[in-house]
Amino acid sequence: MLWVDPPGKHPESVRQEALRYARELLNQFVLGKELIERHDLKWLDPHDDEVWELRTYLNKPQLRLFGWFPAPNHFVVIHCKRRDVLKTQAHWDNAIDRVIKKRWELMGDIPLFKGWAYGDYIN
Amino acid sequence: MATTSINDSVLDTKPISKRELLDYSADVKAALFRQIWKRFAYLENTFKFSQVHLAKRLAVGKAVISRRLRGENDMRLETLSDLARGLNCRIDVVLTPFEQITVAELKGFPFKSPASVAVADITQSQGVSQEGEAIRWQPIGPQEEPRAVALDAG
Repeated sequence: MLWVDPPGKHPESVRQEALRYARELLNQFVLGKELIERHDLKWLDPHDDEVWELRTYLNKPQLRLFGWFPAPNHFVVIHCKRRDVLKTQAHWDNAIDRVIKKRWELMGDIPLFKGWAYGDYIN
Repeated sequence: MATTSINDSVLDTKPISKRELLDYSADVKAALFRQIWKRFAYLENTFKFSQVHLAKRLAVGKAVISRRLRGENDMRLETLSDLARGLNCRIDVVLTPFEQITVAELKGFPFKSPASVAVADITQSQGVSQEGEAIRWQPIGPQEEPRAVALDAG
């Protein structure tokens, strides 16, 4: 089941009014349209972890899609969260750790793609 | 003089799903909000234009502007319009019939319209392949260097 496009009731009770902005964001990405650094797409600290988030606006709850870039212009979303449940640093750390752990399961010790700046990842 | 009917046009009378209309409005509002945010960031970085300045121009409190720029709530068109005006911008609107959108405009995507892309991807399963729980979200059609998103539902 796709978190942003559930066929039935959403597992975390996110309404379609909010989910539509996640779909808009993903379409922006795959269509090669502009995503603004730190507004739509943010490289999370510490940068060495190579974890990013896609961010939605304009409806509650705002949503965060966590993942990483295995290559330029290729983004893997590992999990999604409602912004309102990310209340403490521990929540953020857990969200980042989940990406790292899953990435390790998927990729093993294959070297991570690493860029210097936003434009190295998406253009 | 020849007469034409709806049957001669590209329109049909099938109802457009609520879901598509919802996604379409998200495309419109998000595009507008993205431009407003970008313009504000530019003015802030270049001219030290602040939320206080914008609040004064629109005769509202700073907290209101702060909330709006954080995009916490769905905004009415009037609100987005006010923000654009406060940033000294005109909103240009182009209503392009789907049939007039060229493939070139879509960077090689053979869709009828940008707004229908989301629907095509999602509801028609075009360009979406499923492998176990992982769902790839990628464009249809030729593109030299496509961007791709893979989503893991785990």
